[in-house]
Amino acid sequence: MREFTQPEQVSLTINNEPRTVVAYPGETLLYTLRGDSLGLTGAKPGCENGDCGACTVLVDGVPVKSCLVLTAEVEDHHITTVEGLREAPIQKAFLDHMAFQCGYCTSGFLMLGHALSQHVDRADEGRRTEWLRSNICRCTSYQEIADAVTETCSSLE
Amino acid sequence: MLPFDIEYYRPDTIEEAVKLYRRLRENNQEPVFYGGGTELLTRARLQDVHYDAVIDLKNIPEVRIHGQKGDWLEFGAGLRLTDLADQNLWPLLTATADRIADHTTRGQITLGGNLLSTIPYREISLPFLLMDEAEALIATDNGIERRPMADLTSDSFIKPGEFLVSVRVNGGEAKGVAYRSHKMTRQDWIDYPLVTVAVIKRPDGSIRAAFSGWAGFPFVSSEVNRILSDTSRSPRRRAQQAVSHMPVKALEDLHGRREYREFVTEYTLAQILDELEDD
Ligand SMILES: Cc1cc2nc3c(=O)[nH]c(=O)nc-3n(C[C@@H](O)[C@@H](O)[C@H](O)COP(=O)(O)OP(=O)(O)OC[C@H]3O[C@@H](n4cnc5c(N)ncnc54)[C@H](O)[C@@H]3O)c2cc1C
Ligand code: FES
Ligand code: FES
Repeated sequence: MREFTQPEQVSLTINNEPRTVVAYPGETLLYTLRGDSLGLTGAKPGCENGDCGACTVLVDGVPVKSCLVLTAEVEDHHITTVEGLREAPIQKAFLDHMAFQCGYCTSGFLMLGHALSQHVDRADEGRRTEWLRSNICRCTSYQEIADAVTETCSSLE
Repeated sequence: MLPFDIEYYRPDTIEEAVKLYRRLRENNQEPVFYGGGTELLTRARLQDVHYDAVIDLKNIPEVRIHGQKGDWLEFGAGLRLTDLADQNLWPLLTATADRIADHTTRGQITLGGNLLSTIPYREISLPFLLMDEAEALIATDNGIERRPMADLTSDSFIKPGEFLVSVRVNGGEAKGVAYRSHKMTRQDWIDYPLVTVAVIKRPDGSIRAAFSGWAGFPFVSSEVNRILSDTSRSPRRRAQQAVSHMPVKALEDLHGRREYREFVTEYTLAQILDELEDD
């Protein structure tokens, strides 16, 4: 049994690099990523209530709202943040389609789009719509975001 | 970050989890069983719940069970709602799961967490409430106990220190029905329900319906089922009668006024009955 009763070292693989961080048992992944030790501020705190998706990162390739998961839960798992995308096709598509205005929601949408593009065999229009409903854009760039995701998935098919 | 300190435990066996809960209580701590955490973490942030230890059940093999064994379809309490949809063992369960929250959050919400949620909806319970043969396997101090899913909303279903291991339904019964599952929200596609209705038509033609959002708990009513099954009346008339014979009054809250809930429920039921006539 894993017992985690006080701040202690947790091992994670972040953007393909093994990392060790000190975390509290009640610390969310969002907080750990953005903290001084990792400094990965791409995942944004929006609502911190599971509603907006600005904090979305990938855990073992699956999109997760990092405000809704404890760091302790994802110990030894693979985390991908927007800093780890490094010129992924979805990033170029967002630029080409001007799929952002203020940009606060962008990293969350990029992570969703990137995860979808890793499974293009299953990324039909219904699935893309369903996934994209998980995130909110206050500046309402929805059409451009959907276009960027569609283009990325089609180009990888 | 939670606004209070907690301890985190991830037991590997059912016995460890049951004993751990007892030990923490003996130390005057307030432990909670932890599924996906979507409710425990958001409610803690709003400071309307307090606990000082979480017992994460997801590493216990029996809690991750997912498949068919003999006549039974078995679903571990730690399965995510997206696991249910991906494997699609029971299409009615998938249809109901697929309308809860949004896709990313469904990848975090567990079956057990939604069934035993402290908020009123517990939408994933509806398919189970419609079955004759649906039972829960509960971990207790005395080992695993089986309890009927029909008792889900009663106080005796699960007691402090006990946790849900898995749920199982008779596969023949579950798959041998025509079904519809509709969620009606006030405005947005993703929201808590004004009303979610799951309806089955059994091989003998009888109809059963289960409701979430109408009241502070999910329910089925034998009187409502009797009315819905009376094919001497039109679907519209049956839907009207069903709504006026609900066992509790419709809620009146942020999501909608009572009259609006009644209207939406009647409309939805009539549409479903119409569709099921042809199935
Ligand atoms: C963005 C968002 C959208 C949502 N939309 C919906 C919606 O449309 N419909 C809906 O019904 N809900 C919705 N919810 C609420 C949702 O958080 C809860 O209903 C959810 O199902 C809780 O599941 P969980 O696995 O995260 O449970 P947790 O947060 O881990 O636990 C919830 C409760 O269940 C108990 N528990 C968990 N597992 C077990 C077990 N195996 N045995 C005993 N007790 C257990 C916990 O102790 C706790 O009291 C939404 C939540 C969010 C954040
Ligand atoms: S900050 Fe996590 S969903 Fe909004
Ligand atoms: S671009 Fe501003 S919130 Fe989406």
